[in-house]
Amino acid sequence: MLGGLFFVPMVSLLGILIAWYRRDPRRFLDGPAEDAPLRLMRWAIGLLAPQRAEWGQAMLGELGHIEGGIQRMRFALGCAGAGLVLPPWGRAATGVWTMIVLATGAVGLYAGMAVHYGLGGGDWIWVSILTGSCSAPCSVPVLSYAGPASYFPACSAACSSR
Amino acid sequence: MQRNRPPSPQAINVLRALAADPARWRYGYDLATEVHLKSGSLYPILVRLADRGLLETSWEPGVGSRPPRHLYRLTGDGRDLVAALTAAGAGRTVPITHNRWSEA
Repeated sequence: MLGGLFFVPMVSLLGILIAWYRRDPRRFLDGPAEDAPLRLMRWAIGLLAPQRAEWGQAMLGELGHIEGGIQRMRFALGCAGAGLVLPPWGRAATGVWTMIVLATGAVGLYAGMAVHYGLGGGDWIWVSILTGSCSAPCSVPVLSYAGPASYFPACSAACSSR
Repeated sequence: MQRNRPPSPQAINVLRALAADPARWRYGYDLATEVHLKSGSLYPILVRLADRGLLETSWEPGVGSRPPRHLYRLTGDGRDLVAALTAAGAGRTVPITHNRWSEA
């Protein structure tokens, strides 16, 4: 059972490592013109379903007319939130939500078992589980250069009809 | 199945802002600033309004290095809805409480 608890965070971590390895090499050619809000926005519009692509371009176009780093970041963060909740969910958004649910479930399950059954696996277990679980959703913006579908290959494959 | 829920207070504010000058095309960021909505709340509202045929969209060509910009204005149905809301007493600007959880 305890091995099962490790499975989900470890798969998440493996997915992140693979996505990091496969990240788009063009990131090194983009230069400083690609600021963080723009990268976040490009990731966010990748979350949208194909039929919402025009709205993604609308958000991206609007960002191009906003001055000021803070305003741009606030706008991009809002659009990222919209990309995650705007129906219908795209494949990438479904993958992100799946990862968040799985990671939260894994942590909750372990916490519940640790409290209820008094399982004390040692601090290293906590560290490995929390690291694997938390790094999955938190690292998504960091990996914004790669295509959203490649963030979590396992989930993307599960969500894909290909 | 398309649900036909009444518009939220935030959506009513957006509709009213657009109805102030129905013939004028508006930018998303300007609308967000005017109605005090974050982009994460405004765009889902705009998408819903467009899906219901209350909003028409257009593109302003990009200038120089600036990308094309999306423009919005009410359709005839949108104007009718605002008129109906105004007649029903719901067309007044709804105060925004700045509660981030109430914006969605």
